[in-house]
Amino acid sequence: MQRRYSAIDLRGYPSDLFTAVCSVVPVKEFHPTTTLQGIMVESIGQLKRIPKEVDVIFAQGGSRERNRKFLESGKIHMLSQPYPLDSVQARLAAQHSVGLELCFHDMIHFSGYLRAKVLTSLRRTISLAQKYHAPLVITSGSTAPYEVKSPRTLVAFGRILGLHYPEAKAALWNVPRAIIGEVP
Amino acid sequence: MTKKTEREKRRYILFELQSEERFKREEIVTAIWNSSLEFLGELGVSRTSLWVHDYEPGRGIVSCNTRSIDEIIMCLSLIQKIEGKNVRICIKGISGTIKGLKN
Repeated sequence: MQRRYSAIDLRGYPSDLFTAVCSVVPVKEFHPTTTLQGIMVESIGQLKRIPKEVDVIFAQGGSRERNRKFLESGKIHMLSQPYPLDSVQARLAAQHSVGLELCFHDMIHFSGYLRAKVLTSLRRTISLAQKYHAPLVITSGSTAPYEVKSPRTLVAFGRILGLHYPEAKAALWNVPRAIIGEVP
Repeated sequence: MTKKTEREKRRYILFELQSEERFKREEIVTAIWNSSLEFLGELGVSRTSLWVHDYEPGRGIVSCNTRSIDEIIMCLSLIQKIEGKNVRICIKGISGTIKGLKN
């Protein structure tokens, strides 16, 4: 009955709903496993000692300077919470094929005024990414079974942020697949 | 050219509620409306034609117009707790008829 979406969750909790799910841990907690695994880099210094077994390298965004240093390094695959994003960063993301993360967990985590601000920032991120052709990736950001969201929900999330259906679906399948290579 | 009819098209969304607790229909309806009002606001909800149809323990059906499917899916997904208990709402299907959802 339900139309199945082929989807990859690049930051989430393992679930049957997705073709592949990447669990992301801080650099210090990383242990090599056979499953898809990523690390969250929180400072530029941590980029110097990244284990070879890592599939996806996330960088924690925050400020313009920090985002720009991460994007210029060319060593990361994804920029998490990329706002405040500007045109220079969007162009760098497109040049280095760094995915800009749209995380559903931000929506659950905040409410009221803060949720409205996050929505505004995400819309701005999308408009800049579309202008400079930077890759966008939608993730659930779930850390527990109760937080897992279906691919259709994540497509709806992309839609309310202003993406078209093909773009929202590409942000769940084509772009993540290009980042991780072959699906294990 | 005039439109043949002004009747708006509807979509029915089947959802599954996963929780260790059992909830009454009124509690589910209140949670859906509160989530929608919080996320979309009064004006936004008025544009969705939201209606909660059946609810039997564990699963239910809501309907909305064809323009608002994604908004309503988001509102359902943002429900994390009902009466202080953790819940997870999973969208199981979307159809133009209730019969289509049940097949």
